[in-house]
Amino acid sequence: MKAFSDLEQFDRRFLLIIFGALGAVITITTIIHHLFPFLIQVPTVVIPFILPAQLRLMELLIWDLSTVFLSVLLYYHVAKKHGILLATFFLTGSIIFTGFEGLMWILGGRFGLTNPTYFFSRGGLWFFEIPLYACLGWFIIAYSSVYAAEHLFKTDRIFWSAFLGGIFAVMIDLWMDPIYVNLGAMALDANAVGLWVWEMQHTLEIFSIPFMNFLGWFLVVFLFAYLWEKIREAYQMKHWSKRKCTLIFYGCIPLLLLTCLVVLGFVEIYIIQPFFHDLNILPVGGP
Amino acid sequence: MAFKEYISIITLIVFVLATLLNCIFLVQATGDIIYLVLFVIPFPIIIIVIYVGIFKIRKKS
Repeated sequence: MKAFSDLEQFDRRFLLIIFGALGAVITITTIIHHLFPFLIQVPTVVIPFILPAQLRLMELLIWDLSTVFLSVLLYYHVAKKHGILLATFFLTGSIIFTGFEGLMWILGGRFGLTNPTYFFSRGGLWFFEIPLYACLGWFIIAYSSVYAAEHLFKTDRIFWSAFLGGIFAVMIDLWMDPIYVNLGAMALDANAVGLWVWEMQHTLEIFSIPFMNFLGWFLVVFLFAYLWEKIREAYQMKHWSKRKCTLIFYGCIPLLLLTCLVVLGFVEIYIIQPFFHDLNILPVGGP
Repeated sequence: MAFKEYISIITLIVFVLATLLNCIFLVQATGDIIYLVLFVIPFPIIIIVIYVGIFKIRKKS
């Protein structure tokens, strides 16, 4: 990977702007979340800490730094393979796309635009109301799943690697979600909730997790990977300039968010609510 | 063979192992084995990822 000073002027400016903007948003929203939670009506719950009170800051740091470390490693890998621009698209796009996708549901539920959905309880650094470790965890799972799918089937078909990547990611989440939602059971405080809390009621659930979560995971990974692969193709074939790739990539993110909103809303209202509400397939965890 | 080729695979495996550690602690705390049983769902993916790492990437590099 080239040193920062050796990069082209466009890359240097782009990296400064995108990481500068993300850094500023994360700093401001972290301060608001911890110091002024009443501004965004952060729910008051017992946070699931595993270490004693004097080590809680360290617990948050370990959690955040370990995901940051893994993400930096993966970012280096993507940059080596596809160049710094495409690697930055995947990393920052993951944070922005998953961040806003989650935010739509969290704040929509919290401020009464939809029924209550879910919220995160524990986090050191926050991207709006999503902990940074959740955004980076998504980056790790999404990229690794798509990478494995691409190599497994040696497919150059973008649709299939994105589709299979989405399936792989959902299979990982089917196991991961029940663990982190019930993490409160191993916390020091008996009343602690999980890392995130589902508030959706009268819906279809699998392992006590709303089905919409898994559908959302598939949709988000599939759409995002498909967009990124398309941009990669156009960039590597030199069909589009760097500026055009950047504008199209970030310009498409609101469209992907809208697609997720429409598809998930449609499935919940027209399929799940009339036919499958209050159905919990293999309940897991507490009441 | 470059280590960098395997970073994506290693990252995912480390991430899964960290979750597995939480899973084992949770089973210990609750006595509910279901969290470990659910590991059968992503298990094929872990095998696929290891297979990809051993055979596909190695062959390529």
